[in-house]
Amino acid sequence: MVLKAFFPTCCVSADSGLLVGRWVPEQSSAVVLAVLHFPFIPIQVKQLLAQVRQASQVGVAVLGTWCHCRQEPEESLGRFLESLGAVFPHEPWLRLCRERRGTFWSCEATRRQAPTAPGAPGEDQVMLIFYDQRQVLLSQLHLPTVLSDRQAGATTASTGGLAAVFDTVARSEVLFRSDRFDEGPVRLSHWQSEGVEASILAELAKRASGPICLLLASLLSLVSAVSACRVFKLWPLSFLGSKLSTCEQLRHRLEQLTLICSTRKAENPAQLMRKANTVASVLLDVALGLMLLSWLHGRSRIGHLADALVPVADHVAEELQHLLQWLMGAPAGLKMNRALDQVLGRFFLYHIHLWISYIHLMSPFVEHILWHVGLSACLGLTVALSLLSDIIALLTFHIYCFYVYGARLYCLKIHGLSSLWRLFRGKKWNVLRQRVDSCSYDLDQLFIGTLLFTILLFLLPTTALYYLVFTLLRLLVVAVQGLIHLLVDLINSLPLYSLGLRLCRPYRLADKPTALQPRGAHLPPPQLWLPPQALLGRPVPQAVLWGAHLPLEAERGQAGLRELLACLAPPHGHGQPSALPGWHQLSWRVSRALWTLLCAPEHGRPCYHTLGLEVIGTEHMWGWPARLAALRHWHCLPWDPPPTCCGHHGGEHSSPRCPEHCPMPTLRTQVQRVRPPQQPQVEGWSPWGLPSGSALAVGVEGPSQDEPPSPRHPPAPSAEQHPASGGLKQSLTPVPSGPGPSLPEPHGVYLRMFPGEVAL
Amino acid sequence: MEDERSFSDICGGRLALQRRYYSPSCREFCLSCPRLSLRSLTAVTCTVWLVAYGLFTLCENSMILSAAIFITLLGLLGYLHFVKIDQETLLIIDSLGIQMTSSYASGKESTTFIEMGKVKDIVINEAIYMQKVIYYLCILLKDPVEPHGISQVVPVFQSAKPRLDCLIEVYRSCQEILAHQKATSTSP
Repeated sequence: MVLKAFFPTCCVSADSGLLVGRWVPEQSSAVVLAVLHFPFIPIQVKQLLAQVRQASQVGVAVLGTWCHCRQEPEESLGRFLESLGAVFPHEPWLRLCRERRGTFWSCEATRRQAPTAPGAPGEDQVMLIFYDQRQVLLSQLHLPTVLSDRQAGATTASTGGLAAVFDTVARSEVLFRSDRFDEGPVRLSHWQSEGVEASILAELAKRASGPICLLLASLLSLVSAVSACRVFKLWPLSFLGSKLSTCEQLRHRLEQLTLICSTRKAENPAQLMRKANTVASVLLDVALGLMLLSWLHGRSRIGHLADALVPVADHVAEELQHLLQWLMGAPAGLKMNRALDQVLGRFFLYHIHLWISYIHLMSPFVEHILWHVGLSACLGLTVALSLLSDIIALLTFHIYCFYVYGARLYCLKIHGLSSLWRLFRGKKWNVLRQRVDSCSYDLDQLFIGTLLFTILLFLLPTTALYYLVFTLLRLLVVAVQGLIHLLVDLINSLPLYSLGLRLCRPYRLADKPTALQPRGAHLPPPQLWLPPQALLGRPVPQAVLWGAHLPLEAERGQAGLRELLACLAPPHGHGQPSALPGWHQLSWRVSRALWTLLCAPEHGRPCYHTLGLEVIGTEHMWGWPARLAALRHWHCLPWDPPPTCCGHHGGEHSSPRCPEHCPMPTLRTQVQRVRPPQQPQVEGWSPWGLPSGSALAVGVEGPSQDEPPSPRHPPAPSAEQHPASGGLKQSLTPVPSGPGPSLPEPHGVYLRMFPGEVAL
Repeated sequence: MEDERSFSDICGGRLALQRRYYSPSCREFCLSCPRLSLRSLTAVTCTVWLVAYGLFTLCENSMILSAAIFITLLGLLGYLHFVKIDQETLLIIDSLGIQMTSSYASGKESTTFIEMGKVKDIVINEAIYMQKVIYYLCILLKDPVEPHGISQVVPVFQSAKPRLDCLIEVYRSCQEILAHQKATSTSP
């Protein structure tokens, strides 16, 4: 049997004494924490060890003796050390000895009792392993001290090996508090015996930070209370606030400062990292802002800027006028319709004229405005950059207006053209059925329709050209603003503290041992990632294009959902396998959470919102783009009809070996219409565990369907609920059509879990 | 106990395998890769400088030449520090774990340690590498959830890439130690 002895590197040069530490029987390893030097009184040693044991819950004991002979080895010392084994009984008893000049070490472990197992060898081999106490403690590879019961129960069974050793060292901090300058009864040698490691600046900062944080936190709470008052929720101010990026940035800065100045200590290393990163980025931001401020205010640069601003605006307006003159002529050799050209050109020219006069009106105030804007750089470079972006937006407002006019005109023209084209072919758009139907028109209708169609068609190039030119201009402005926002985001979110730590002290950033990473059976609770505000309300395909990777966490929503889910127990029966594999359970919970989220009262009327959602199953999928996640786990949805899917591997869906066996299910055929309550639901298809007969339709579409489903245009949501499932009922919006005769039209709620779209 | 033998890698270069046998439960294998050859160094430097001289004749700007020298030096330092591995070591200690060390030409060492509790087995595996099929030694790690599953495959001697005969030697010694470890861990 090999006995492992973990010996701290700081005790290698210590004088002879007793080895104090903990014996871990499961791995037959002895973790030496400190060396206790002569002279000592055994009673006091035992008292000290009992105190340490009580304070740290670690079973510290005397493990053996340490002999460091600086001169010739003494016989008496050897015998004395042997007799110590009788005073401090420990099994096995370690004897480490280092000869002078450290060339030879001898390690022995003796057991007093004879080995009980017949096959075990009599003599133990000792493997000596040196470890650096300081780095072990600083790298935090040990289990966190605050663990929930469930986690603690799960991890103690599986931690073994070195994690237990690190845990021992970390929890024995009590032992390391006394250094050699203390006047205690015993003298210990460990990594802090030369003096507890601390820095004066850090200690002073810690003492001072208490009252400062309190003061700042109260100030910040005042500011946030003021900003949350009702005045700012009224329409003009709230609209402005949502459009201006400066307000956004100020809000973000307020949040950051609140986080920094909160008086609660960080509970785990992740929160501490986050706090530290926030502090670092705020400091960098403010430093850069102050540099910008000093540069701006020195040598009256603001005056120069202000003087240059109005001529630049004038110049831009002049260039726009030249552009319009060019468009009114024969741009790029194209022949335009003269009358329309002149009308549009003159209209836009008048606009520019208005704009120039507005700028000239503002010119006396520009310098003051710029001066105050420059002051805002004290709050940080990001605020100044957001202000710059807002100023650019305001200055190019006329370009935005032109774009809107051009786009509206073009849109109208295209709609008219398409409608008249249908008339030309003898067809018509049926709004009720949402499709193109044939229609017989009268002769005069056809005549006028064709005339109008021809007119619109020949006016198309002119409008298209104006639209194109102004869209390109607008894109240019948006690109510039986008770059500025990118820079702002970079400064906001770069984790500088972690980067610095990685460069200077990489051991602080050690990864957690796998015992602490949640895996397998206890998957993390479903994480719903809601898209940013900008995506809400967009048509579905656009949301998918924009929101393929949706990083925003909805913590508030999650907390509410968890409570809601806790009161609704998971279902059983109704054709479902009794033991759902982990993934099914998860997606079932998520889909129910989704439903409650969608129908929660705060969402008000059932309009056609898009909520792009990315279902996060295992931690491997966190942050994956929704499409990839879909392709990987698509086949493991609970909506797979069991006979075709699970037969191959007994209902196990957790492995990614599914694609070989299960074809991509095309469930559209199952879910086109919501059946009225008389017809029972398809059997393997009550994934939500609702009693059969419920008219809750869940439409799942395959990731690559050839034809877009015609019920894609969201119909009014009508979902009828069986009264038995009580919890969901309250949160449903009232349904226009009650349960009754068969519904001829397609109603239903189409849920598309992957790739992350929901259309109500 | 120490012995040294020479093998060849998949491209034909010479490798030296040093085996150290510290105890029945602790072995170390050290593979030294071929050194940076003067020929390739000269070739690269000449190419870079020729290109720089060509640019100089086009642009008549002497900054290009100094920039070329600078780039060559920095490139060489970067290559020695980040890319060129001189020696790869595999240390197996029964009941503790497996440690793999790569030492670079500039002296930097990077270490990976795997606990014995996580190691399922050490095997020789085949892989398709460009147009060849090569053998490589790898460590299979246990899956904490599934008792018979494998969570990760860690290849060993990735930059030295020895051939099968060298791998077989290392494999045999490692399997002795693993067998010894399994025997001692099952008995109380």
